[in-house]
Amino acid sequence: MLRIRSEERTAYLAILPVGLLLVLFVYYPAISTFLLGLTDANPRVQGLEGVAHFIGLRNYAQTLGSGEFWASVWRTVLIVLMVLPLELAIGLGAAMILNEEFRGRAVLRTIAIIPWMLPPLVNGFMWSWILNGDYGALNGLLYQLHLVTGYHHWLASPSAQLFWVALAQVWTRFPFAMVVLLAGLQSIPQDVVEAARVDGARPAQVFRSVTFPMLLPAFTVVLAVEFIVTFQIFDVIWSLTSGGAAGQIINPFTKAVMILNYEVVFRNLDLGLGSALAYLILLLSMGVGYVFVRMLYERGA
Amino acid sequence: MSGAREVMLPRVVRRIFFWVAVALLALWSLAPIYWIVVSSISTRIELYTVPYKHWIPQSPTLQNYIDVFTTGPKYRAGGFLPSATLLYSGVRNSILVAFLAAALLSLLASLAGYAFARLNFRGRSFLFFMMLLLVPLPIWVSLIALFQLMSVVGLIDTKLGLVLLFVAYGAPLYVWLMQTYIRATPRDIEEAALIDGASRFRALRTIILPVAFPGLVSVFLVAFLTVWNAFLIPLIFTNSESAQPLTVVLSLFIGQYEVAWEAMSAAAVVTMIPPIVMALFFQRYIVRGLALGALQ
Amino acid sequence: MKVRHSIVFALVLSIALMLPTLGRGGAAQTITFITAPWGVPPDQALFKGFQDRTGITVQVISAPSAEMYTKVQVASSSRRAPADVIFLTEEAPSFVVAPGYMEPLDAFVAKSPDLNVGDIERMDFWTIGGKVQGITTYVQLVMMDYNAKRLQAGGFNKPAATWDELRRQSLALKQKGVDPYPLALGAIDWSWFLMSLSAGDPMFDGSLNPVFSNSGSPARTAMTRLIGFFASDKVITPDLLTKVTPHDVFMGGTGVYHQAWQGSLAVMNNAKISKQAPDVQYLLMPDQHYTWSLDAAIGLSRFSGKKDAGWEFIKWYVSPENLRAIYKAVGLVPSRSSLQRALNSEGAIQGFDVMAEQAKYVHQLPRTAKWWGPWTQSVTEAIRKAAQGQLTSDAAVDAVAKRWNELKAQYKQ
Repeated sequence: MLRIRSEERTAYLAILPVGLLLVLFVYYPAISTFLLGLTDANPRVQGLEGVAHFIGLRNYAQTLGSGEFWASVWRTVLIVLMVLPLELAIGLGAAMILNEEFRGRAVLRTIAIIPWMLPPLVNGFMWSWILNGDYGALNGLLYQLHLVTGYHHWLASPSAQLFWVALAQVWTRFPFAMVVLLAGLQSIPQDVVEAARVDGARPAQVFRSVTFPMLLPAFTVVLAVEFIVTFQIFDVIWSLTSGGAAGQIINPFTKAVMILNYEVVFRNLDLGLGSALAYLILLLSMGVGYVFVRMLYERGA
Repeated sequence: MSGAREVMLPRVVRRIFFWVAVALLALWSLAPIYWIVVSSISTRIELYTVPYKHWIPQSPTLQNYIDVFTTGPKYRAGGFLPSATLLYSGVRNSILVAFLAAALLSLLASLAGYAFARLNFRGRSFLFFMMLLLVPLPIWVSLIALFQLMSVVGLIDTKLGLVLLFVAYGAPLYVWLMQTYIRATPRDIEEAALIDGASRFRALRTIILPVAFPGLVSVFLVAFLTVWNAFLIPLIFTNSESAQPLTVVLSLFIGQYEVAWEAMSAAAVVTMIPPIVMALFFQRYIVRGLALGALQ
Repeated sequence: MKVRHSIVFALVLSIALMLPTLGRGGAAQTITFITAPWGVPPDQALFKGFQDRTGITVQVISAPSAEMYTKVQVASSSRRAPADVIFLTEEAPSFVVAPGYMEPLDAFVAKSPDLNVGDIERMDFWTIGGKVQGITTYVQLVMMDYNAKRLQAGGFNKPAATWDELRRQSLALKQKGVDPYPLALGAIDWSWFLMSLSAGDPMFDGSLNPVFSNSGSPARTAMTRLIGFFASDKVITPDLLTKVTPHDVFMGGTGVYHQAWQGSLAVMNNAKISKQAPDVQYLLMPDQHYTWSLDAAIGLSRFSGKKDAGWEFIKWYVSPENLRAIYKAVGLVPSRSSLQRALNSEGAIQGFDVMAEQAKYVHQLPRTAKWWGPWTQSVTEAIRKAAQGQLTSDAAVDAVAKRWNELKAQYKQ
């Protein structure tokens, strides 16, 4: 009895700092915003003296019934479908390479993290310069290597815009996957792996039956986190396809859910609708993330 | 390799594939970075050359670097940095805030992660679930209410305010990560130490963390870089040199009519140096962690 | 363990380093000024002189304009001042004036004859809801410019006087190989507004009804023409389907005609950053010549606690000395007529004659309507979809008119 109570005390003590911060800075404002989502708050319509009215779940109904919302969700899903497989594959591949012993490993490990160190906003601008159809570096390189005969306008079509957004995102985020998966790989006790090898299993089999299952928890975390990060992508889209100067224009073809949220809150000043939209985005992120986690935990068991 | 079966590629070929993969990884990571460095020492006109082939600039210049450390580009595009010391203070603020936030996060996440991973207590699943719920929460959801809160407690435009925000919004993910890493560590030595009378905290410090060290290091690194790249939180919650980090300073190169890319890339190069130094520093500790793990 | 010790040491050191800045006690007269980067006072000596003379310390908060509005809106909607003094660009009426975030300045103007407000142009635009919301700092007509030398290389000695002629010239320039993409106009609302206004379409009537959607209107023709430039004539580079403005494209050397602004020559003819230098000249808008303006102003936050000090700063900001410094630094034409004349007599303003001529043909767009901001977004979206072939140009105009009426109904309620 005594032991359990002291264990509980230790546990609560360990969780207390995090808990306090979360309640104050995360839960409280989030609930406040949730309540805002149940009103029709709009400073432009109401002005400073006006009052917002409680309208229940009407904002949610309006958003769920809005074609633009679903189009935006679909666009975001497309981006996610392009980003996740590529990012995980490259991240895993890079982690496996870095798990081997070789000269210059420390240097390569540092080099491979560098794309992550570039702030997303700068990342977008960089790619927009590289991909520029009239004077860009990619065109210059391909032309110089005689792989193309003329300059190509990479961002001309809507689907190309989505693709390059996805690629820029993969490029800057893969080091995260790599770092987490590498830590996971390094935690795998080598004796089990060696035993499998000595038993005569081929590398692919070793990977499939020994390494990957033990990597599953780390893999799950990466998958879930990257799904959320990609679903909520903003800065790269902003600077690659919308920005470039003064940023007043939101490109309709790359309007992902967070960009839509930005438009509703900061352009339309529709605070009630924007809050409801943000919660819907949260629910979608959580829902799918939860599905992933369940799926992988069941497989791993 | 010992005991290899027949249908494996000859060792030489496998080594070649390996080195090709290494080269591809290096190229994939570095090529755009190389472009940024080239941009930072080029003039705008040279960047506009068609067909572009100046992989080493014909008339390299350090003027961009000088500009970003003084009053900024003096032409129409970028306007002015409101203060000549903005980049210095940006570097200082970014380093302090990211380091402190990452350190605090590592500490708090280890504590809480350990509790969720090993301890039994009432409400464990519930609290864990409530915390996981917050992982996908975009800060947008809370922006206006949060701003009001931060104003009331006087934390607007302070580094402390930024640190607290990053720790609060990052905690769910890192607690989850540490919990995952700690769960994977073997229990036996820990049990033995507990039976011998060690406290839980001592067990955490001297036994679990050394084994979960690669995990801890990766949490620190991830936290550091995530905070380093953060843009929206500092944008809204800071105003001046006393707290503005590099990401916000970099955005000032967005001009009214175009982005002063050659200046922005010079500032971006400066931005990348501290994390690179930090990453190099951490290489050694990752290796040490491995060595300790191997002693089991 | 050594690692742990060094981490703890670093933690303590960081906290110690941060402590001095944790407590902030400002001087009694410290005000904040939030602005886009090009609004930062460029002459440091002059700026310091003001601060020393008045004892008011001004802290400048700079942010790119979209982000600046985000900051202003977040703070203002929680009823706090984002800063004491706010820089207002042409989107400000919709973003920050309409919700009531700005303090009316009439009383301040009335008690400050030293401001000489009669010398300041375009104050009518910044008088919204019957009250003065900002003092104009620079004037900026939307204009067009062109590279005279390249035009000549295509066999044309004079720039086009009508849109039909401009189109013919563009096709000829393309065909002759002078430039594969001779027009630098973005797939954005501004291009259509410019083409419609200059073709003589007033766009809206006195009751804010969208007359541009009338059948056979010049605006409809303009839309068809603009979409045609992208889709069928292909005289505009596909890169402009995604860019916000066409300026870096033009500066990079693509385009003979270009949608510009009053003061653009200072940039386009700057050999350090523009490949088109030094041959760029202004073009008087074709057909009926009309255009509109994107002036900026400076105002006070409704929630500021230091309005008097803020007003002193505003008066200094629009003083001839500071406006002159701004012109010299970033080429923005000052709002004071006297200063414009002075600069011109010094020969400091390129293309002044065309500018002065163009200034006679200004037809303002109703940007003070509360819903202007959201509406322009729908215009750009319609143009982009039409340029990709997803909408006909008539359907685009219809969609845009419909959206205007919807928003108007929503906000008038």
